[in-house]
Amino acid sequence: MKKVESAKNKKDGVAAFRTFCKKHLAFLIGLGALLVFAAVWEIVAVCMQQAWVLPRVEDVLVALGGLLAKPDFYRATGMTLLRSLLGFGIGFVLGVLLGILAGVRRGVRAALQPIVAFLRAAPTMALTLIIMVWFRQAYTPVCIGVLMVFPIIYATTADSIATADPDLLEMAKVYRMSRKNKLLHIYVPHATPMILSGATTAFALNIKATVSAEILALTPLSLGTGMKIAKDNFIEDGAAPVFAWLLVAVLLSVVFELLFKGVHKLLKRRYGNEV
Amino acid sequence: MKKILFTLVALSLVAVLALGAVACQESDWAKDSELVVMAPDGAPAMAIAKLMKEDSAILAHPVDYRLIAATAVASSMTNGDADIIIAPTNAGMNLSIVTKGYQLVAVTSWGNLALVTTDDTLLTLAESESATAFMAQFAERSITSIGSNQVPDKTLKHLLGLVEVENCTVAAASEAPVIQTGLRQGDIDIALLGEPAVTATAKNVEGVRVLGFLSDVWSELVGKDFPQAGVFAKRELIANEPEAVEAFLTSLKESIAYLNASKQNAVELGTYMEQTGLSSLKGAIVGLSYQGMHQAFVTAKDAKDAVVAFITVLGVQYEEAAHADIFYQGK
Repeated sequence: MKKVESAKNKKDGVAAFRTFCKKHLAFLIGLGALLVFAAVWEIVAVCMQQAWVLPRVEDVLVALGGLLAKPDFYRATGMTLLRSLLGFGIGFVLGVLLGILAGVRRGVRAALQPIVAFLRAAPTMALTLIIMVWFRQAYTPVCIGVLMVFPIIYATTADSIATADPDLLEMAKVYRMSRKNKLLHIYVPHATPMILSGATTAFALNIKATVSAEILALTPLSLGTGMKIAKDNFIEDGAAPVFAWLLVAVLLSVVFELLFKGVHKLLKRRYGNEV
Repeated sequence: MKKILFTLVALSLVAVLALGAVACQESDWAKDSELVVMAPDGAPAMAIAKLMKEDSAILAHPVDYRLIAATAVASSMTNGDADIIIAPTNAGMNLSIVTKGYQLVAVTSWGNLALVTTDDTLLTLAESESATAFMAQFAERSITSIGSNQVPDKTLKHLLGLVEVENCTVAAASEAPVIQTGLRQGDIDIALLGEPAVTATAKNVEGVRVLGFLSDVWSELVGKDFPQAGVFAKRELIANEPEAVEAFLTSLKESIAYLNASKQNAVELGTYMEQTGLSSLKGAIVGLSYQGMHQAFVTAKDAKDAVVAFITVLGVQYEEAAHADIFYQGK
């Protein structure tokens, strides 16, 4: 009797494990890939024996621990995050507003086209150098963030508005739907997933650009300046601190990507298939 | 009626803006207004390290001491963001000529550039018969220098040209870490670096020796000192608050004297800079390299000959008749 029960428990356990694996397959594959990447990194670092070029994973983790123990680290990371969010927020609002206008009015789209094309093509470093001439150290990363986010959100919004279902728009015309209702029930459900997807990409780019601008502008209290100081002192401290700062920037980006995905899911749950 | 209202509103706006502008103008030079003193991170900033540490006021003016990126020096002078700024002498003089907004009040950095090598066969400047012989040994060699088309690169090329060194290639690297990696990996065997990177490299890269300071070679071959970085003050500040400028110069002189007084002082100031979280300087390295930074306070008036010779080589369009007033003559 006991044997049968234990066999049943074992079977249940295996089934539960399989269900768990199936449910979290993508996460497990990602985790596996990360571990493989870390293992390859460690092997290469051990073989190279050149800590100033490629430090060992454990050295980077120790350097990261050193950073985490410093109160200034949290202030610097917090301020970088604030600058990123500010740049993203301004760029997002501008992008959505002008994107809606451009989506419904061809003239606006044509007028903004050269500016958006310029912002998309201009190298971030060149823009940073120009912005540094115009603004103070602390504002440069925010401005760069705006310039990175705006074209992406603008284009996504304009495209999504312009591609709204013509049948639904026709129906709205027939039934003399108000502008507000058209916006809420036709444009918003159609555009939101595309804008959210654009926002996820834009935020990752925004963090990259903000940190780059901080490095170039030596912005006080910033992740970028921390990274620059670590790079300048690499001959004394090795490359591990530079990698540790890099890891922090990557983690920030990943956390916000997950947050955006979470928001997307929440909206989907709330508005069903409309979003 | 509408037109009258519109005109009234417009006039009020103009009046408010004008009053605001006048108020700002006045508050700029109020006896207790905040002054902004800037310095690029690195050796030049050590001149004001003590002032930063003590958060020294200038007379009744509180001071906002700011460390900036080297790339931000030009914009800070062009925009007039800095009341007083330490800048590479050539760039500062050029911007003062173009903007007419600043005057050179002092020179603080007299050369932090040094040639380093991993090659055992090369002689140091002290071992060489003369600066000419020292430079001549770089014929058919390649030197990697920091700062493309800037002071290090340009002055090195000028000195090589003076001695007519044949086939010496000067390759430019963007920053010291690139050169340090090259020296370590054996891709570079002769390089021009600035303190404190010179000391950090000699300390951490096996086989690296310091051959000599470029400023010493310059002194021998050009016959003048090497005024690498100077202090520039806004003309408006000098005109409105000459006492404040004089007070700042006195404090600056004391700050530099304190740095040069002992290794202990240098470590203390270097450690302070390290702790600001804005500077690449480190206490221990500053303690070993402060003498190589060649910080010394000389007034603009006394440094004029050296500055003119220096900036002329660096391509600054200086004309005595038109630009002599850039040199602050003192109160």
